[in-house]
Amino acid sequence: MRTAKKGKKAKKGKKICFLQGNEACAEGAIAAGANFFAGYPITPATEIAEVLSRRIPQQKGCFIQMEDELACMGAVVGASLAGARAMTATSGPGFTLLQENIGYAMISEIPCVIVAVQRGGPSTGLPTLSSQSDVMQSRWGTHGDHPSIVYCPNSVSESFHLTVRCFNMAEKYRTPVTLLTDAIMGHMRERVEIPEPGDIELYRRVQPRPGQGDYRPYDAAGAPVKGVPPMANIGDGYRHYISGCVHDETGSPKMSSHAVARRLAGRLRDKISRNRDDIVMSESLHAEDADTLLIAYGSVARPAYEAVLRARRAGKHVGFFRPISLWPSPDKEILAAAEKVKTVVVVEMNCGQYAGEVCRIFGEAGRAVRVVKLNEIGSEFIHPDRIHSVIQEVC
Amino acid sequence: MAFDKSLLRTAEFPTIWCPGCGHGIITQAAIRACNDMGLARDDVYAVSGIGCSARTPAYIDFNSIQTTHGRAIAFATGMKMFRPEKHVFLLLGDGDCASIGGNHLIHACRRNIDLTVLVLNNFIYGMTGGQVSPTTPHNSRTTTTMYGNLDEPLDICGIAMAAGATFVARSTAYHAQQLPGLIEQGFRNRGMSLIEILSPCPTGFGNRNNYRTPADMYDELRDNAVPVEKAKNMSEKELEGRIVTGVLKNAGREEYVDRYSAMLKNIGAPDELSDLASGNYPAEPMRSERFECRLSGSGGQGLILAGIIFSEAMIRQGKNAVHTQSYGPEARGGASRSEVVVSAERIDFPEVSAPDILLAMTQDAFDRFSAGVRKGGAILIDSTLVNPGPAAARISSDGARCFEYPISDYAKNTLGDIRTANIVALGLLSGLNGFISRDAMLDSVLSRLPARAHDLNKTGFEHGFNEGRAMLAADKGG
Ligand SMILES: Cc1ncc(C[n+]2csc(CCOP(=O)(O)OP(=O)(O)O)c2C)c(N)n1
Ligand code: SF4
Repeated sequence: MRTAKKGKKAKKGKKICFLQGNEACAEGAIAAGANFFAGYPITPATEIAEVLSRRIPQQKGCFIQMEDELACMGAVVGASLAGARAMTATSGPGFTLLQENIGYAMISEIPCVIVAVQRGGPSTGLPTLSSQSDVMQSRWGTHGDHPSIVYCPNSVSESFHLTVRCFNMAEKYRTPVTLLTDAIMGHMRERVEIPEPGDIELYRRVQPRPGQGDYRPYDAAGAPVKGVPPMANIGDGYRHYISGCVHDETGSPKMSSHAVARRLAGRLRDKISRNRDDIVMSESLHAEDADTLLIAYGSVARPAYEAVLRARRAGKHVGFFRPISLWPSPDKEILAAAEKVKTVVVVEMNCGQYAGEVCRIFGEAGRAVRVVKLNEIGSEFIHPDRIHSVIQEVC
Repeated sequence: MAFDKSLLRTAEFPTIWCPGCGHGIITQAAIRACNDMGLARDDVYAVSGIGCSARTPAYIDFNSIQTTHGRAIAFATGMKMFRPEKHVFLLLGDGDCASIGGNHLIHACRRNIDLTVLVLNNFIYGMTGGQVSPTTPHNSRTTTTMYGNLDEPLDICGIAMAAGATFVARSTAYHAQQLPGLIEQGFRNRGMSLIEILSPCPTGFGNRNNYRTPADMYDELRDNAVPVEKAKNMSEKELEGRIVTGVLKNAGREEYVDRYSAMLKNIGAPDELSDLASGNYPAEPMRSERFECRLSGSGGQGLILAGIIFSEAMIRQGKNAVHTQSYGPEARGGASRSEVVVSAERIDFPEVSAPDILLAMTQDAFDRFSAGVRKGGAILIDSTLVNPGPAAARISSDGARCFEYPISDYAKNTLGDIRTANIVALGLLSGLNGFISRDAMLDSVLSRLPARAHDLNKTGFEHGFNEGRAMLAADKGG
């Protein structure tokens, strides 16, 4: 197995750096102990592969440019099965090609990290311009019913920290985790405080007890993380069978038992939903007195927040809510922020993918609010003036 | 030729295979090969895709991984790279390996990564009920070629050899005695090995193609097989319809993961991110809370780098800075734009709306952006390349000041290196703006340039700075 030699660590302290979003993501992967990266060039994500092609070998890890994104995801899952902290990074069309093997990693519960830097689509679309049109792909891109964990940074600094978190969540919950950024985030440069390596908390997958003869790879009974079976790396002496088939607790395919299927699908759902408080992240600002709530995420959260501040200075009671985990959706947190709210404005660079989700949240809670969509579908970054004028109209 | 029955996962029995299917024979041969080599079962990864053939790992007590259709080689590449000490062998159907997974096959061969691929070639998609595959013979009937197969079959071994696999062999399920030896040779080859094994599928292929019993199919494999040594002396015509068996290629070449490991040995210490912790850089306060700067010109003028250096100087001064740039085809020789927003506070909207400073280094940049400069802002023009013309008067009446300096001319003809133009421009901008610390900017310039370029760029920066200060004084005086 490839492991970095642990030298004596000099006390270095935190650093102030000026990094591009994609670079920060790559540095976040290094800080998270990533030791396997498989990639394929695509704008606007390529810088992540370029930086890691230099940085991962320096840590004695593996970097490989595969023949396509289907292969990237395959190699990432294969490496993670063998014990690696593995990642790939891509955009639009490449994200689509990852999907089949993301589904494999979900059902066979293999930790891995996917970075998707959104660009305009569908298809080749607008390779160099930004969008948020893969919100639903990040949720439902692979076939089948499954939970998803997706984080969405709004700053270069958050690109660093959320990349670390993606690795930790992937390992903790044995599942693929996606960092969903966009071309603006990926290419923007900003001040970042990089913590000292020792100050970054790393979660490593729970392994079976050494020599545990009765190890059942998909048995979560008594597992330290509720619903998450301990994971033996392949080749460490357990020789279990792994497949993308519906399986029982031993890993044995059971393709005609409704009971087994129900048990597996239920556990996969519950291991995320029952631990949602540990996974979900969001930010709520000035919501206390708000009668109107602006919801925005990723790069668009920046002009949106600026517009909110401007409106508040003019005496408007506008609050701001930012889902940081798009999935699982911060339902509880949105409802709490919107307690006295009559109008919600969802600002996003797509036709309203998250707005649909917001409607669901209020609908399920039996709350009557007006949901206003502010969408940009031509990949022009939304200017605060435009958002501000919508606030003026509705508030 | 030992056969260790304990290597079977009998709990998974009965197998899904039909009576007469060749896949079981091949599985047994693979187990024998592992036994003969004395491989410890923990050290073997048995990897497959999807298909009848791909069920094999379920029945053997190795580290058994069934992946997705066509992608087993990609998974195995990740495994082998991360655990070079393991033996990785793959069991793939012809559809799995040569159709949906064909691209991965070619590239694994190109890399010569140490995988041993057994292709269980039954000329058909067995699991899905007998559809045409890339190896189906011409004119054969399948459930999707009811009028006969139009294609000619693909030569998987030929592809593997051409793509760079270092061990390639062919045999058939009839030749059960020969198989373990061939598989063992494949295992022992350090590099990409492919062994194609023809495997009857009575259910999906035989039924529709005039084989009365499974035995007919095995008889045909027996009758048509020609050892490669014998085939060498046969004409193309004589070889028509025959199956050339044995080792087709065995040529050592450096293996991919070995190369990778050797490369790792020669890599130096990890990079350290440079620390921009703010220093003592006295400067005038900023006139407004938010300051926007647009550097525009064409690709190759170093404006992106200038924007980064500008931002880093601001961070050294303890401010926030956000840099954005225009990308795309523009990044190659066309228009180039690099923008910086500076503030003592947090910066939300990262883009420039109405710049306080515009640097225009091409006529096009001047024409496009000069009107957008904020009232009270400044435009710095590279007068070597830009003729402001009558626009200059209009701009000053709009409340922006125009400064001109022959930046490119000075860089090219006085400093002797046009590449210093961006740094001269940064010197001018620093001279023109009191809130920029000369030292912070110069430190940022030097930290972003190689040592050999320091002297020249320092001269250029300082010249620009002094010129900028002089222009500012003249502007204030006038
Ligand atoms: C992406 C995808 N496409 C299609 C299938 C359906 N499928 C399952 S097995 C198979 C063909 C298997 O044929 P082959 O690889 O030749 O193996 P055999 O069953 O003949 O041993 C196909 C097309 C699938 N599982 N996944
Ligand atoms: S369908 Fe063909 S390949 Fe599949 S098990 Fe039956 S005989 Fe074997």
